[in-house]
Amino acid sequence: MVYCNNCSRNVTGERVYDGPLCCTFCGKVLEEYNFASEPQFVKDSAGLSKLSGNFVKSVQDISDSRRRTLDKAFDDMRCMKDALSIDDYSDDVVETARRFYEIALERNFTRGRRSELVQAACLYLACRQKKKPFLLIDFSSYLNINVYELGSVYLQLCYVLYLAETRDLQKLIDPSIFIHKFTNVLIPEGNDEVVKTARDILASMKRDWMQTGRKPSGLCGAALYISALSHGLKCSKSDIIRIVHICEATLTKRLVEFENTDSGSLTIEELTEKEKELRTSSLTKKRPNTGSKEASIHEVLCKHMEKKPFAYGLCEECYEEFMKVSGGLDGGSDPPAFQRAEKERIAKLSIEENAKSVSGSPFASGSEKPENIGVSEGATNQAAMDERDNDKLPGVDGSDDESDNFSDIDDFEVDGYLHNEEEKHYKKIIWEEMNREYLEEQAAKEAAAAAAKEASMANYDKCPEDLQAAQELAAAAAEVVAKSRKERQQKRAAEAKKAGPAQTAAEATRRMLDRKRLSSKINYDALEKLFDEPVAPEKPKKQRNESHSDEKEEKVSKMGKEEGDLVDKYDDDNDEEGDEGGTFDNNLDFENEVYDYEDDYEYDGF
Amino acid sequence: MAADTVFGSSHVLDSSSSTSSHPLSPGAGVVPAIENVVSTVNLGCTLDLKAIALHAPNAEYNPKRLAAVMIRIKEPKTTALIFSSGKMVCTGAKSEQQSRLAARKHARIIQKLGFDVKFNGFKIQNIVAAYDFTFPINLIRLANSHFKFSVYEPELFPGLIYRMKQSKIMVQVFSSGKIAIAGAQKRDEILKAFENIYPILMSFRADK
Repeated sequence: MVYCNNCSRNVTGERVYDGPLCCTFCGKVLEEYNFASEPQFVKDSAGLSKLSGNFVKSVQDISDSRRRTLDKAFDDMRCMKDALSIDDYSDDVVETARRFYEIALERNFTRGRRSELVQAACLYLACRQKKKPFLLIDFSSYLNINVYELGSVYLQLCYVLYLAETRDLQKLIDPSIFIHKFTNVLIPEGNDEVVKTARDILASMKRDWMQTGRKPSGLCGAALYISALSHGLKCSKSDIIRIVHICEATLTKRLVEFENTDSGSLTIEELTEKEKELRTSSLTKKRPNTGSKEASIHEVLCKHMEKKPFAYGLCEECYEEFMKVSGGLDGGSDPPAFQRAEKERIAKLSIEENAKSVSGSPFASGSEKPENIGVSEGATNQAAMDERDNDKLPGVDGSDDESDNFSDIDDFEVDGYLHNEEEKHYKKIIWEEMNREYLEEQAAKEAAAAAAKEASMANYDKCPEDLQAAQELAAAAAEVVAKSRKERQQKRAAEAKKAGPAQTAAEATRRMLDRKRLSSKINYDALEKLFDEPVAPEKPKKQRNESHSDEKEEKVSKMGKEEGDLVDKYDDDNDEEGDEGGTFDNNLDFENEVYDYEDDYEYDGF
Repeated sequence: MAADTVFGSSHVLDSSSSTSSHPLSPGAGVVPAIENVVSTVNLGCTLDLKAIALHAPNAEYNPKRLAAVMIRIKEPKTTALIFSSGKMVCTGAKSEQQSRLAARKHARIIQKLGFDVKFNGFKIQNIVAAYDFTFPINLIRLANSHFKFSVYEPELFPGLIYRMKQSKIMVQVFSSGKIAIAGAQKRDEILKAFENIYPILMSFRADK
């Protein structure tokens, strides 16, 4: 990390081609030494030339491919960091993420998971550790994946990295770190007053326990909204929603909850005053009242093992941290979730009381009473049924005497669960209508299976024309049916295994094209004519194919493609279904060219 | 066995026998209420799902989405997923006996449709219980002091997930004071987990 006085901060320098060291952000040249990397020779005292330096045993502890994977991951993470503008000036975060990724690789965590998911999870973890204000939702919207999917990968990563075991308080997100970021997005010029008020509002929310169980972004959004409005800035709810990634209903709910707390009725000045007081009073560091029920703890629960417990089983430092993150345990102690639960409980109690009073009186009048009677009847039915349960199943401890005749089940009831003829008829019509596509697929599958069977039967009879016709029919039907990608892949894999190496270049090319899924755009007849020469298959394939490949190169280059690397790629045999067909993707995109080519070029043959 | 009786009224049971020395252990009769029991059974024969779907009024069969028929019955209020291999999953019952009874009723329905069903290998796979502590719980504090067992990610899920080391039972703790215990295959596993978590949460009770 070197200091760049243009950016006026420490940056990761980048040294290009062993030359000058430049700032990665603004490009200013910071150091200008040129380094040579050839071996140097010096003359020793006797006048003999010797190599300067020592021989060092090569320390290649990881294989080439592993290094490639890591480098690729590093690059991807850097792109992600830039896209989300996590840290424009240095690669610190990405370095940390890279180390996590290395460990994850070693523990085989990347197997079976998309690498971008693992990279995003590592990067998010690094952001959390460095307290950068970035949410999981930012990452998931960049990658276009479900946030819960990314979340589960992140949790598994924490487990794999043994982070659950470490006594690390910092793992929990403090919503206040987001205020600065969100304010800057809302008001590009920046506004310190708004930030301060929003922080105060958030601190009071924390004390009132609005924070437990909630996404930090929701609280920040509400605090920011209130603070911006109170400073006279025009911002609407939709602005906040856009920045903070929550929906309007949530924002309204948070605002209502804040309104219901004590601090909600204060004006801004009163709120600021109160917060200032609390902050100064907490500086005296008095020990909080832990309550009588908590057992005395002699050792700390946090990671600072040698310190003595200050409060709640934490040492002083961690206690301060805890208070900052959560707002402490005194005060409101009334999370809105608990308030809602209380309300429901009271409502239920009142219903029960009504029911009791009603069941006392013989007649029920009034509209709400039948409901209550329903409730109480339901309760008595339940109790009665339970008793019946116990009577009915005396031998329920694992014995299967009545297993097969089900004589204990009430037949009348079960009959009620079955259709009569008319109902069956209608249901059949309805179901077939609703599931028409599925039925069509099934019919096509069966037709293909039948055709294939016929083909194999015809094969048995050894009749050439019928064989061909049946084969074509089977092939066509199979083509129609194999719509789903999986089936196609499986078919391809099976065919590749069965068929063995290609007999001619044409076949090899066709196979490769099939595999690369360009088949709909290739004119196979033209392809056939491409290699239409009186080739005896006994001739050594290698020579053939090399000359073929040369010819092919010429043709393709004549087609006016700029891919010069085709020449290089086509060096190997065409027999192997290798990767050299990759460049073909670019070349054979246009149907017309293939056709034109067929007309214009005359194959000279050998 | 005492376990056969309806859960809420068991007072003879082990809830007070083990770890009763702890001052905060649950008293007699304080037990969580079972909310859901999931069980599986093998009917022992292949089934034609289309025929079943067409003959039963409360059957759902969407072959493109799931390769099973879903049948619901009213008493006990349960849902069964029946696969073409003959295996069946029964969910929604409120106790183990009810789950068994419901599974048998479902099997009887299939039997009446003309298949040769048996009732092999009935097994309870999962029991879910809930309990209300009626006092608010500070999840951050719980996550700090029991970081080894708890996973609390407010961005992903509002509740704290507490996994005991010795068993595979999972407890979800919410800030409203309600908890859900899941992952048990037997009733006493739930009771044991409850006994473990009860003193922990009671110690977090804030005296207002």
